[in-house]
Parts: sequence; structure tokens; C-alpha cells
Amino acid sequence: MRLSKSFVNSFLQDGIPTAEYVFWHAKWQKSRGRGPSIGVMGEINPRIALTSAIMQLRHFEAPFASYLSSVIFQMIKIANLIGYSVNTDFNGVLLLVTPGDTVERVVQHYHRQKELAYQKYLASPEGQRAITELEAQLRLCQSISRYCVDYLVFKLDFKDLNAVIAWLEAYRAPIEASELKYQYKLILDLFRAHGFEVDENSLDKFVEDDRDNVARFLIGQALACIDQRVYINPAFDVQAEIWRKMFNEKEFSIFPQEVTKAPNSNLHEEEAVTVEETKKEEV
Amino acid sequence: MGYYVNPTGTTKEAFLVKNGELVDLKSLQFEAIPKGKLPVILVGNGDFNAAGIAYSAAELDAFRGPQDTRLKRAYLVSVADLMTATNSDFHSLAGKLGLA
Repeated sequence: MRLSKSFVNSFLQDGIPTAEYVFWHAKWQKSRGRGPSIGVMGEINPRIALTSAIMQLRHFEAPFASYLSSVIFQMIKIANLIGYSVNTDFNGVLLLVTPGDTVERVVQHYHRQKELAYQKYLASPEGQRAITELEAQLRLCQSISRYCVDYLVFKLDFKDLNAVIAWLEAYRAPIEASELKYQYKLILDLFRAHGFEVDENSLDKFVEDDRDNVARFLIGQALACIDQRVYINPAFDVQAEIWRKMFNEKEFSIFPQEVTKAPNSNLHEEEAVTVEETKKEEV
Repeated sequence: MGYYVNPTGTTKEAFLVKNGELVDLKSLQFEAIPKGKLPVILVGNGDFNAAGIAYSAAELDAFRGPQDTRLKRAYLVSVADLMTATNSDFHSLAGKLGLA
């Protein structure tokens, strides 16, 4: 690489020498058979200043929200230019690239280190605790969602729009919290069999002061989410609350009210979990 | 041996809602069921539901035995509709009983 004075000067920042400037100035000097001659950063000895500059260049600061491969590419570029290894901390993994390195090798190293760290975490007491908590939450959500499905098939009065909305609220939360899947076919078929439609009463069919129209609109929106295989928007609960206030509807719960326990796997009470626990888990 | 509803293209639950009339299982009298219809009992089995056809009074009583605490719903469904959602075993039973 042929160095010019103007190239070296391009690394000055407002006339102040940067680490890059010190490094390239020394290279430029060397190309002319001379030693380093710039002292910076409070260091008047040019050789020590050069060493400091190189140390600084060898540590790469990845910009916030950078892509891994892009960071590695830039690091290799610097390593190739300065002829030294360059390191950085990327998401807690130390990346070290050497001149002539490849992006693929460093990416593989990164993923290997992440996997090792993950396995280490899983084996740690914190990791074990987290797994236990997650499994408990998953079991709870599964049992609540199963309860909801049983309720849908065996108990829900589809003529009671308030109850139907409450069912969608009750079913949405555990499914989303545990990233379970909706029972798409069962739900859509059953709602359709009871006369409900996806996207019902939307656009010009929406009548804002008509209780049933708005209720069926809300239900149709939830069904549209299920039909599109996405979670029901959490705003559904807010809209349901507004609907109840607007049309003086009472709060409705599909869970038994006489006890604070919601049945676990079906509508019987042998395996019970508390509603309070359910709420805590959802939070 | 039981006879079960397994429609194609829809779920058994939706099939029963569309084609059946929801009735009270406890008070249902087999003799009082209109000719050409049969009770189908949807039973919750945890992970799946079964829809069994109560083709006789004894079969109906078996579904509502006091020791069986599973969730249940009863629908009256026309035999013609049942023929579209059942296999040949039920078809031959319906023939033998003179229902088809």
C-alpha cells in the first residue's frame, strides 16, 4: 500500500492526532526510512505513543445494534491493515480476529461460545431455577388453556356475547404467555358453526352504538388473529373492557367464582390451581 | 364396540353444532327421540373429545353412568347426517336397525 501525506492527515480530527493518525504516520515515516515521530495523548515519547495507539486500534468498539458479520468484517479489515490481532466484546463473547482471518471462522467461534455459555447457564443453579420456573409456568398455561378449550366445547353459551368475549380473554393470556399454539381448527370451526365470522362487522358494517354489532366485531377481530395464526392482540382485553363499560355489561369469568381455584386439566376439580397463581404467572 | 362420529373437513364439535340439537343428557329418554334421529354424546377425554353414537337405550345409559365424570354434551342428530360422518361399521348397523 502506497502511503501519502494527505492519506495520513485524513486521520486528524480537528487537527488533533488520533490513534489511527499516529499509526499511519509511523507507517509513513517507516516508508521513508524513519522512525515514529509523533507524541500524543500526553505521551511525548513517539515509540510509546505508537504502542498506545496500536493498543487502542486493536480494541474494536462495535457500534450499538451492529450485525455480527459486519463487525467481524470491519475487525478483519483493521487487523489486515495494522498487521495485529483485533478484539472486541460482542454480546458478552470475546471476539479475536487476526490478519488474514475469515468472517465465517469468527462467526462459527461466536456461535460456539454462545452455545457453551448457554449450556453453562443451564447447568448453573440460576439456570436450573429458571428452567423449573419456566416448566411450571408452561404446565400452568397448558392446564389453563386446556380448561378453556373444555369450557368452549362443553360449557360456553355462544348466545351470551359477554361470555364469548370473556372466553377469548381467558384463553388468549395463557396461550401467549407460554407461546403455545391456538387450537385453530377447533376454535374456528366451532365459532363458525355458531354463526360467527372472521372480521365480522368490520369497515362499513360496524355500528358503534350497537351492543351486539360491536361485540361481534371484537370477536371477529380475535378470530381473524386466530385465522392468521397469530396471537390475539393484547388490546383485545382493553377493547372488551370498553365494550362492557359502554353497554353496562357485568364482568364475566369463565373460572368458577365460588372458589378461587380454577380446575387444572378439565372442568373437574381434582387437579386444581389457584386463579391467583394464574394471574401472578401471567404478570 | 362403539360407533363414533368423525367428519371430514370439519371438527366433530362443529359438526354436532351444525347438524345437531343440543339436549339435556340426564333427562333424555331414548324412547322419546324422534324417529330418524340418534343421540350423539360428545365426551371430553382430556387431550381429545370423542363423539359416540348412542344407538340404543342401553348404550345411552352407559354414557351417563354415575361413575363416569367426564365432561359430556348430548346432541340429537339425524341418521342421514350421521351417515356422512361415520364409517361402514355404523352404516351396516344402521341398515340392521332399519335406520338408514
